[in-house]
Amino acid sequence: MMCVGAMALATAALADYTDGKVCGWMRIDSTLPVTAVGVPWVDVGNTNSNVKVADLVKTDGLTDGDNLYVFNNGTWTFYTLDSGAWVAGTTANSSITATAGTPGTATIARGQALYLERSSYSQPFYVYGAVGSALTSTTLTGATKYLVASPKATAFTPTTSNISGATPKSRTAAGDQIVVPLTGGATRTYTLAGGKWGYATSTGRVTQDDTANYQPVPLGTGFWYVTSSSENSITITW
Amino acid sequence: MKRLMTMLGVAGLAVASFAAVDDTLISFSTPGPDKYADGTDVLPGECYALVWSQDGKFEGIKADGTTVDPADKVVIVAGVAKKGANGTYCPPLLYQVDAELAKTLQNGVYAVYLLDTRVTEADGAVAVGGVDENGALKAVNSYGAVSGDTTAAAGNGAIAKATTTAVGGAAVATFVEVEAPVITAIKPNGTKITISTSGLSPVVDYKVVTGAKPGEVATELDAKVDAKGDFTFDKPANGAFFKVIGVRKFEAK
Repeated sequence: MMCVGAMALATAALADYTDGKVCGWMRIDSTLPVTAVGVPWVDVGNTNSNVKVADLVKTDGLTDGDNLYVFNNGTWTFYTLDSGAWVAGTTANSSITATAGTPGTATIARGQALYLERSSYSQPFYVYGAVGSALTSTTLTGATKYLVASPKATAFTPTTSNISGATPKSRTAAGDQIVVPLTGGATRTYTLAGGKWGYATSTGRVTQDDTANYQPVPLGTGFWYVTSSSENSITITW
Repeated sequence: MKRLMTMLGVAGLAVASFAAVDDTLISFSTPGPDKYADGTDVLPGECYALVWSQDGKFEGIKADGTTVDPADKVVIVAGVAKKGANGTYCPPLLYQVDAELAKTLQNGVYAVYLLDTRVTEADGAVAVGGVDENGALKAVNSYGAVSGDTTAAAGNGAIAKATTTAVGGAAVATFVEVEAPVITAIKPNGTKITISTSGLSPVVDYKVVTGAKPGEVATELDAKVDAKGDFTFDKPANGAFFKVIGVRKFEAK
């Protein structure tokens, strides 16, 4: 028995000892008072479990009283920064009906997003966590409005290649929409028309085929996916 | 670790004269040269440990000097390796296990193990770590049996004596097991970031490597680990990925 054990240990000695997870932080260059923040990470600690809401957005660059809002099937929960730590929400923005969340246990999955509301928003902020095992797609069903984001540390470009199940825009229906909050309070709304995703600009519609001008959803930014029926099933391939 | 108990002596006759009834005396020596796993000569002052196993299968030692099997014991550690004409060796050594302890160890098996307790000091010098002021081993890199087994006997109204013979070519052969470290928390602090870790081993050197993509973390950060397992380093202005990696301080050849 000792011989077998000794051989195994001697072999192991030749390898490096590496933390099982690559961790990271991502700078979000938003100057919006309210920013939709994507969730690219899982929890640190080699569990591949969902990251705690209170761990994802750290306190650097934030101010006490700032709020985090998590959207789930039509309801909001929120958290407030108090003395440098996220606590159960105290005073929500008057435009949102939200209940206080539980920062010690509440988690959020990759592929989702949350809102960060800041009183001082001229500086970037950061999200932290661990890189999880590959999440290749997210399926949306059971609701009509989802707050989602790419789990990858890259921008997301809506195309027919990576979104399936979407309802196209028609003369009588708005079709599915992807709504992205942008700097300055503007939004960009992508729709599916003529077999292509695209969005309107002052000079006309820009589609996925116009690779030189077609803008992606910015890195780390969440977006709304709006569909007409909760029975629709939309799969986004990241 | 519980303080290593009882006595040991070099040139056993003097010690033996103080032995009491029911004490156990075990003598041991090696002809040298005794070697570490990397093939180098054992440093003078290196440790020979008298170990005990209840079932005759000593399962090994951990990096912190405790035993892999909680039922096993490291009974005595003697930092007596000596430089001689034939390389480093263990001079004639007498382990004296006092009667009270010997009672708890009877019917088991004693054996002598050579330990690699080398540490790298602040100035980079390599030295024998040995035991601390409480008699606890500071760190064990690797170990190897250097004697045959001796059945433990006690409580028979006499001094139990045994001479255990060195196995030819006394050498450290087995590395202590080392777990992968785990990052447990990330804490920004102004222009710095602190990452907390668990599972660090005293026989491994750790560093934090970073990169712009998850698969490209290779650049070493200027981050030293403290006693709590925390690494602190400058936060780059942009995002970055990182992980903690470790390499044994004293690797095999």
